[in-house]
Amino acid sequence: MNLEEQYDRIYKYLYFRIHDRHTAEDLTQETFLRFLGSRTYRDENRQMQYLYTIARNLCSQYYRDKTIEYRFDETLDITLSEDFEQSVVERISLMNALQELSQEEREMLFLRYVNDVPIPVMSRLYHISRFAVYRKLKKILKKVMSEMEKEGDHGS
Amino acid sequence: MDHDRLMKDLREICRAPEPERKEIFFQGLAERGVTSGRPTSISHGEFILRQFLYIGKWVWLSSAVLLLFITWICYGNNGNYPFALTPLLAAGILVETERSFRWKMAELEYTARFSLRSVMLARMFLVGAVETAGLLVVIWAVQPRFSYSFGRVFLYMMVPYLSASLFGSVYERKHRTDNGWGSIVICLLSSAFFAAAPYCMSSLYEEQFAVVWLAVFVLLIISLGSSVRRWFLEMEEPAWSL
Repeated sequence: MNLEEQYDRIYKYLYFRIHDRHTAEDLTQETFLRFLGSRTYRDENRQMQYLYTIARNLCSQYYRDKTIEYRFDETLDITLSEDFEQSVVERISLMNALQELSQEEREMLFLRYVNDVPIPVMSRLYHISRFAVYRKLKKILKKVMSEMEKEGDHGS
Repeated sequence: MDHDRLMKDLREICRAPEPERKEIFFQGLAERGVTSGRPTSISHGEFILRQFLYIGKWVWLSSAVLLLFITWICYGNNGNYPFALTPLLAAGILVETERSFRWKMAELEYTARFSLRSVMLARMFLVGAVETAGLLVVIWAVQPRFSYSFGRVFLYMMVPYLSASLFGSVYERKHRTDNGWGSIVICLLSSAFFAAAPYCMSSLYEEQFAVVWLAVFVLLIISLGSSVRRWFLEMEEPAWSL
């Protein structure tokens, strides 16, 4: 496992959850320090799963300490300005569709399709079978598509 | 919108600014000699031993008290009654296993490193091995008090223990959220059964039936192994919430 590559992914994941560049980087470093500081480790195939679990726990702790609620729409303005070409309408409708998802659904979508987390790792991360991960992802994508179509119908 | 386009847009939406302190962080790690990125691995034996700390103290305490009680009863010339007490030993392992299932969340980080199955199997193995070892010591210590051979005393002690473990494990597999009371009742019923059995069948502990006890012992071992295997195969079931 390439640690530097994983650093980017864990940072991206934490930024996705926290929407604050500095906090996300602080927590990324904390994740890696805990990961590297762990002196007991048996199954090397599970390093990625362990990293995400630490990151996820740190993230939950951050929200608990701050007593603030997770808000997905805080990122919308920032990301929208990145690419303002022809697909803006579609992206807005995608962002609205994502807002309709639960936090876990958004997270699963992010891990699988943005951070390319392998299905076996996700299966262990969520304590469900691989088949269940496939089905959940399929269901989430279907939900996103249908929300986007609904939005499109309303728009037209 | 097609799938590829959706993924492309999703990646764009979830784009994060570049991390600023990555290089300094890895430089710092390199200076401190933490560059390999490979945490120390531990052996299977060490992994199992580490589980000692996570098993409730009451499990060890109750098992020790019960083993001492069985020894004391054996020395009191109480006939075949001591054999009926061994099913109670199984209650510890069953309730501990149930407790681990119930508090699965508390073990999240630990199980992420080792997988829930490994942790549960290690704990079952630990408690089972320690209790069996304790029983063997008890059998060795009390065997002269009986008119039976060591092998027969072993069978008379182990069969009730294994039967309670088997029925308890089947019950726990099907009812995981009853705080372990079901297992305790099963162990008590099993104990009562073996206490009452000699009254219904007076020749139960006679030498001619030793082969039957041996066959039951083997059957119980196979069934218990199969039950534990099924338990582990079904372990993901409670999280199936589509």
